[in-house]
Amino acid sequence: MSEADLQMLDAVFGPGPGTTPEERAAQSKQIFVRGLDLLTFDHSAKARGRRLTAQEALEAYEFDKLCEVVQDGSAIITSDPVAVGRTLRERRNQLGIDIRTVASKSGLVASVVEALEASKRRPVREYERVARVLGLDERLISFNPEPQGNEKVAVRLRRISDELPALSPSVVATLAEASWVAMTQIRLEEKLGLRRPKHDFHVSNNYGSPLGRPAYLVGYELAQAFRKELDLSTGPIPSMRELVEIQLATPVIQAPLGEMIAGATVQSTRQHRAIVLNVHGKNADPRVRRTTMAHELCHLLFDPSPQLQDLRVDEYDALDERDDLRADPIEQRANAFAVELLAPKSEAVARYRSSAEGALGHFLDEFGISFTAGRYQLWNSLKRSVALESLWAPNTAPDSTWEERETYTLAYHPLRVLAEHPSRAGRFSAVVVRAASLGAISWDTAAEWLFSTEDEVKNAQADLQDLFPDVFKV
Amino acid sequence: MGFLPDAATAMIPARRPGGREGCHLWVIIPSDVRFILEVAPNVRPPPLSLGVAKHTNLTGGGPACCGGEVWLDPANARKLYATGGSGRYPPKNLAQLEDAITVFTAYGFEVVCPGWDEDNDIAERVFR
Repeated sequence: MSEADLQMLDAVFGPGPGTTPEERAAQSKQIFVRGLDLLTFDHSAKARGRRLTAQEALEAYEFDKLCEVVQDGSAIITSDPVAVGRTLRERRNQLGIDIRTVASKSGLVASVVEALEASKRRPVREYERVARVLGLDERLISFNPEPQGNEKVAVRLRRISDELPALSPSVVATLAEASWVAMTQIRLEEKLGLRRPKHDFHVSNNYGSPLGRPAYLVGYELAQAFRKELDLSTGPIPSMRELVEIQLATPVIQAPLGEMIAGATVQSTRQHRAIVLNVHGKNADPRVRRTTMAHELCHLLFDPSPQLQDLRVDEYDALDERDDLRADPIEQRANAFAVELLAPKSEAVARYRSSAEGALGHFLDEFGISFTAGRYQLWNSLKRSVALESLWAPNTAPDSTWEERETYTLAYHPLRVLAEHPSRAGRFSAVVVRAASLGAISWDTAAEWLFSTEDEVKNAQADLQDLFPDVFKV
Repeated sequence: MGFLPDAATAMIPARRPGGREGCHLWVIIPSDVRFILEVAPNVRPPPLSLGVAKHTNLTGGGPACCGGEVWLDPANARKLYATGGSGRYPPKNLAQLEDAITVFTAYGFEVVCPGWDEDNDIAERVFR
């Protein structure tokens, strides 16, 4: 490393240890400002652009651009002045949603969204808001002329929405944004060293065969193997959310998806996967939501990419079908996996025999499983020796502890504004705040993503540490 | 290096303002307006660049009112595209940038300027 190189590192990041840009950025207190066109040092309190830490700026724009800031006072980060609007318009068209929906989701008026799509000079924060709604990486929308973010998911969403009436433009936009939340969480967790799955599951092409073993039997076996691998007893799983998010290091994004969609499994361009759960409709009952989560978990862990097709969306009605009657082996396997994971057959039989009255009701509440799934599981476990109609339970509210464990910070978050933004109110919020406290992102970025002020986010830190202790151990 | 307006006819025109092609640097010092082609192979200011001119090449490191970048319209030798993009001599605010543009127009040029960047609170450098 030459003297000139070290001088440049000092000029960009300030004096400090380390001889590579990455080492220097990790220690640097330098703050940059990202505008629509330019990157500068944070030299003026009047600048309205996005503040970035040295790590954020380096990761997004690379060292040469940061050197330009030193040499020229600013670095041009726009590759083509008209590309930014074109990127937004093309992604919106890919998703098949109209300007009004984008405006409503981003909190802007339609005429502003039109101006953004025409690449007019507008505040970069407006561009960022629309980019996030469309599932784009907002850091790169003007920097990279090609759309960044999960294009395959956008294309697939469009295709599915043509087939599924439940996927309204609003739900499509919510799913696109949930995809952004999931992929941002994964990116930050990787940066913080939080993504260390302790278990290594492999996708499986085994969906049974039409004339041989049915897919649901494969689903049962996968669930049994899963429990064994994670060293789970045959008892109830206390929190599916914790199991998936902490033990499997997989994001679970809870978002409003209307009355008909149960959930989805989404895959990033880098093959990372996440679960999106509807907080409305039948999932309002945490036992149903656990069943949906277990179903999506099967897709996430075991469906090969060609079967997942970057995105799989499940409707409530489909999840309620009997395993053995489902025509689609992919869904049949996932349904069976879900019920066997939540309530193993051996336990179902034992519970039924030890509880004469209200057996099904106790079973559902003890294991936290939906009425339909639990009923079929119990019926199958008893080898259908009783009439299905005899297995009945009154529609009672679930034990409140299920709600507390599964809804968790969605029900009460230290940042109250997140009650209106459930997709940001889960583990994502803790990862964002931790990333800001470690300088991986700026407090400005954290505040923007969490719809709060910097002070509000900083003040929520202690509470989030109590709620998500593993996130703050790094 | 040249002086406006006499040397403007010698400027290399740019097909699209904002790029490296045809980009000249300008500074206003009390006595005149100086400019130089940015990518100049014979200029080697150490230690940061090679073959790229800096505003200090126009001032010798001395003071200047402000500086920026300028491109000549290929279809109109009296039309300039000018920004206040300078690391060393940036306009401090919109008023100072406007004053600088007034100097160009006083020499009889029609000037297109992208204005002030509120995001970064500096002179904008990209033409939209």
